[in-house]
Amino acid sequence: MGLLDHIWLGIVTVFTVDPVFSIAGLPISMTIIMVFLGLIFGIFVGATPGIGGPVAMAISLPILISIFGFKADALLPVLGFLVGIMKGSTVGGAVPAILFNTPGTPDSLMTTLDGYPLTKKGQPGKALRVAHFSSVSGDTISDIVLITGAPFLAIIVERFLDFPEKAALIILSLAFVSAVVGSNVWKGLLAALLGLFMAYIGTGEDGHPRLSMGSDNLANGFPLISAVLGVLILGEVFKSLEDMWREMRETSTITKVEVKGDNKLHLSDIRKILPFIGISASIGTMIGALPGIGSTLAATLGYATGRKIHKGSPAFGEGAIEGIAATEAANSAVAGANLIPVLSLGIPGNISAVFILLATESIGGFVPGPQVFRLVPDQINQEMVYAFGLFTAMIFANGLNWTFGGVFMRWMGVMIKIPKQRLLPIVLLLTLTAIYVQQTNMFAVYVTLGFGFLGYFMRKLNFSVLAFVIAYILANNLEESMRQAFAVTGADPWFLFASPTSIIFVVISILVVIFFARNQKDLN
Amino acid sequence: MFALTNTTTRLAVAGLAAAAFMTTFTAQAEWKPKGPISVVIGFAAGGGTDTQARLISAELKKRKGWNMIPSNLSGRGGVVMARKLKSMPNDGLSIGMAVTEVFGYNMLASKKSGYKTSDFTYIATTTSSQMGIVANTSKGWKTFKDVIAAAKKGKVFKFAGMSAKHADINFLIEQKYGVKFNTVVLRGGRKVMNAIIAGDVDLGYGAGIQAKAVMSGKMVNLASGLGERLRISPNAPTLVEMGIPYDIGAKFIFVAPAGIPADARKALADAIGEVINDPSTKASKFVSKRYGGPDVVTGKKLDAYIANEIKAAKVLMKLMK
Amino acid sequence: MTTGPFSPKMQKAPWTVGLAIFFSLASLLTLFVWIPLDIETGVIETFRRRVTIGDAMAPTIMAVAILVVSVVMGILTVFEPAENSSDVKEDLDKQSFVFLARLVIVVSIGLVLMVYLGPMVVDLINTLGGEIGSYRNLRATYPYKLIGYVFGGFVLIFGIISVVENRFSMNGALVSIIAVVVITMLYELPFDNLLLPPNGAN
Repeated sequence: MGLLDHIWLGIVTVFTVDPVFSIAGLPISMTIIMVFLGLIFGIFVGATPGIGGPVAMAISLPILISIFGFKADALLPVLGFLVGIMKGSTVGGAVPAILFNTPGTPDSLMTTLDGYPLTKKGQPGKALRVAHFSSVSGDTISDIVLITGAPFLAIIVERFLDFPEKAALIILSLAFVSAVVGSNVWKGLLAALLGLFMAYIGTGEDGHPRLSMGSDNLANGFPLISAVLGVLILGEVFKSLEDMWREMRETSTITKVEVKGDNKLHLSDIRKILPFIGISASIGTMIGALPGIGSTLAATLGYATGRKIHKGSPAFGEGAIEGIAATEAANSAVAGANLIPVLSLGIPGNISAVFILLATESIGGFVPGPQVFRLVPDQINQEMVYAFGLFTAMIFANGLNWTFGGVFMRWMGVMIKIPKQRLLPIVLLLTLTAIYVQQTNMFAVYVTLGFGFLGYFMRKLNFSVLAFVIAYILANNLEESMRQAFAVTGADPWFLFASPTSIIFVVISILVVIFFARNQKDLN
Repeated sequence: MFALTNTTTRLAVAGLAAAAFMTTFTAQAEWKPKGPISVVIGFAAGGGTDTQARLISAELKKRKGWNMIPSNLSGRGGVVMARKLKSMPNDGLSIGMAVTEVFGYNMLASKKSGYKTSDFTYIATTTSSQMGIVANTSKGWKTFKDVIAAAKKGKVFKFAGMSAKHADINFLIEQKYGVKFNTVVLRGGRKVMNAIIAGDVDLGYGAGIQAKAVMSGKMVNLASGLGERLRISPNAPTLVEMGIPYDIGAKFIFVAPAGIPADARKALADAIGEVINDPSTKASKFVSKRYGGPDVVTGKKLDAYIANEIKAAKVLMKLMK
Repeated sequence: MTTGPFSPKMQKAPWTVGLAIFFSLASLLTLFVWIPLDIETGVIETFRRRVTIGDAMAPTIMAVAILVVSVVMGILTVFEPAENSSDVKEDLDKQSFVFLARLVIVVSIGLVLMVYLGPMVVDLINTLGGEIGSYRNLRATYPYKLIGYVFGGFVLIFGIISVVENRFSMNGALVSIIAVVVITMLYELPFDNLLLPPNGAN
C-alpha cells in the first residue's frame, strides 16, 4: 500500500467511522464532533483566566479515556478533542489580552501591547478579527510543515537509527530541553536529572522494584499521569492560589469598552498584515520544531522582528494591527510544528505534545515513533492511518477555526468575569478525580499532590518544570534503549560511540550544554 | 511443561464442555456476588490481556448482571498485580487476570516475587499464546534450522525475546548447537515486532501478535515455542523437535486470592468459560482472531496445569544454574 | 561583609545554594547507601553468559550526574558576579509557607473525609442495628458510595476558596456545592463501571 492509500484511509477514518447522526444525508462521525467540541472548549478555556490549553487538556484526557475506552478506535476521537483544545486555546488566549489588557497566558503578553490600545480606541472588534486571522493563518502554515515534514523525518530516522543511535538521540533531546528551557542551564539540567532519577524509582527489570523501600505501591514506580499532572497542573494551581491569596486586597476593575469606529477586517488590512504573518509563522514553526522552546519565546521573537520591519503609523505599541498579527501568528505557529518530534521520534517537546503522547500511551494501537510512517508492501500500516487521521483532524479543526472560530472568540469576552480563586480549587478536585478514576487507588492521588508541591517549589525557585516532565516521560525509554543497545552490540560498553551518527548526537548534546551555559544571558 | 499441552487442552475442553452442560441443565442455587467484582488486570490497557478481561467483564455484566469493575495494575509482566491480588479479600469479589507464567517461571525467577503458588485460587484460563520464533520473510529463512546453519558459520544474530525465560531458552539453543546470539529482552510483543520490521534485530519471539504478518507472507514463523506445531505455520518445527525440550507457551488466566468459596470459584469459572466458548461473543472472536481460539481450563485440571508449569520452570532453572 | 565572594550571593539566592548542598549530600547518600541497599542487581550483570545492564546502572549514573551538576550550580551561584543574578530568581519567603500550611491542612481534611466518611457512616448504621453489610459491598450502591466524595470534595473546594479569600462566604459555599455535584454527575451519569474516590478496585 502506498502513501496515498494511507492518506486516503486516514481521511476516510476521520469522516466516516462511527457516525453519530447525519446532517442533510451527510453522516457526522464521532471524531468530527469531538474536534468541534474540543475547539469550542479550547476557545472557552483560552479566554478564561487561570486555565489555559494545557490545563484543559490535562483534565479532559482521563475523562475522554473513561468515555471512549482504551481500544484503538478511541484514538482519533480523543486526539481530535485534544487537538481542538490546542487550537482553540491559542485563538481564545488573545481575547482577555485585547479586551482587558490581561494576558491569559504568557504567550499573549505581546498581544496586549497593540491589542489593548485598539480596544481603548473603540476598535476591539478589529483587534479580535486581526488576532483571529493571524492566529489561524500561523497555525495552518505550521500544520502544513508538520504534515509534509514529519513523515520524511521519520523515514530518515527509521532507516538510519538503530538502538544505540536512538539512545543518543534521547540524550540529545534531553540536553537541549534542559539547556534551553528556563533561565539557568544548571538548574535546567538538575531538573531534568531529577525527573530521570524519580522515574527510575520502582521501575527496572529486577523482581525487587528498585529504590522502592519495600513499598508495594511503588512496585511499578510513580504513576506517569500523577507525576506529569502533579508537576504541570497542580504546581501551577498552588502557585496561582498563593499569588491570589497575597493580592486578595487589590481589587481589579473591569474596564467598560465602548465600541466605535472601524471594527471590520478589510482586504487592505489583510494585505498589510500578511508579510508579518508570513515572517512570524516561519519563526514560530522553526521554534516549534525544536524541543523545549515554547510559544512564549516565539511570540516575543515574532513581535520583535515585526517591530524591526514595520514602518508607518500607528507604531508598534500604539495599536498597530501588524503588532497583533506578528505576535499571534508566531505563537500559534508553534503548536503544529511541535508535534513533529513527537510523531516522528516519540520525543515530546512541549506541554501540548506531552498530552498527545500521554493519550497515545493510555490508548493502545498507536505508539508515536519512526515506525508510524513505515510503508509495508501490500499491507496497511494502521499506525500511519491514525497519523494521517490526526492530520486530517487538525486540518478540519483549522477549517472550523477559520469559519466559526472568530465568532465564538468574540463571544468569550464574558469569561474574564469568572473569579480565578473559585475556579482553581474546582480544577484541583477535577484533576484529582480524573487521576483516581484512571488509576483507581488513593495512592495515585497522594502522589499527584506530592508532585504538585514539587512543581510549586520548582516554580518558586525557578527550576524548569518542563525539563523535569519531559525527562520523566523519556526516562524509561532512555534506559530501555541503553539496555537494548548494550545487549544487541554483544555487551559493548562503548555502544554510544560505535557509529558516527551516535557520536555526533553525543557531541552535540555536550556542545549544547556548554553553549547555553556560556550564553544564557543573551537568550534572555 | 514437557509437551503436555496438547492432551491437557483436550481434556480441559472436554471437561469444560461437561461443566457447561451441567450448569445449563441443573437448576441449583447459583452463587451471587454480594457487591461489585473488581477485575484487576495485570497488564497495561490496550494489550491482549486487557482486551480479553474487559470484553469478558462487559459480557458477564450483560449476561449475569454482575457489576464487574475492571482496572489495570501493570508491571513486571503481571507480578505487581499478583502481589496486590494476594492480599485482597477472598470473597470472590476480587479477581485478577494475567498469564500463567506469572504463577510459574516469573514467580520462581525473581528472588523476591512476594507471593507463592498457594496464595491464589486459579479460576479459569481463556486462551493460549501462539508462541513462535519470527523473522522477516526477506531474510530468506524457511525454518529455524536455516538460522542455526547460518549461525554455525560464525554469524551472530540479534535475537529479541519478551522475558528472561526467552533469554534462557536462547542460552540452551546456544549450548546445544554451539552458536552465539546477541539476545535482547524487549517489553512486550509490539516492541519485538517493531524491532524485527525495522531491522533492529534479526529475529524474535512472538506470542500471537505476528499472526497477521505471517498470514500475509511478510513474516515467517521459524519455529514453534509450544509443545505442538503452530496452527498457522505447520511447517515450522517445534523447539522440542529441535532438541530443546521446553514448551514456552503460556495461557491467559483469571485468578483470585486463596481460599475463595468453592461455589464462587465454580460460578466464576463457569461464567467465564461460557462467555469465551460462545463464538458469538466479542471476547471469543478476539481470541480466535489472535490466538487461534478459546482454551478454557478450570478446577482441578487447572491446579494440575499450574503445578506442572512450576515443575517445568524448576527443571529449566536447575539446568541454567 | 559585602566584599567577600560569598555573602552577597548567598543572601540573594540562599535556596539555590541550599539546594545545591542538599542535592550533593542526597546524591552521595543515594550512591553509597540507598542504591546498594535497595537494588537487587548491580551496574553490570553477568547472568548465564549474558552480560546485561543491571537495575543499578541508570540510578547510579543519575546520582553521579546530580552530584556533579549540583556542585557546579552551587559554586557558580556563589562566585558568579552579582549582575547575573536574574537567573537565580527565588520567590519563596515566610508568607509562602504560611499559605502552604493552610493549603495542606484543608486539602488533608478534605481527603480524610473523602476516604473515611463513607465507611464510618456504614459502620455507624451497622452498629445502630441497620445490618446493611460492609462498605466494600456497598461501594457501588447509592447513597453510600457518594458520601465520602461529595463531603470530602466540598470541604476541599470550599476550604481552598476560604483560605485564598481569607473569609467564609455563603457564595463560595454555594459555588463549591454546585461544583462537586456537577463533577459527581459528570462521572456518575454516563459511566456505570467507574467508581469515584475512594471506591476503586485496588
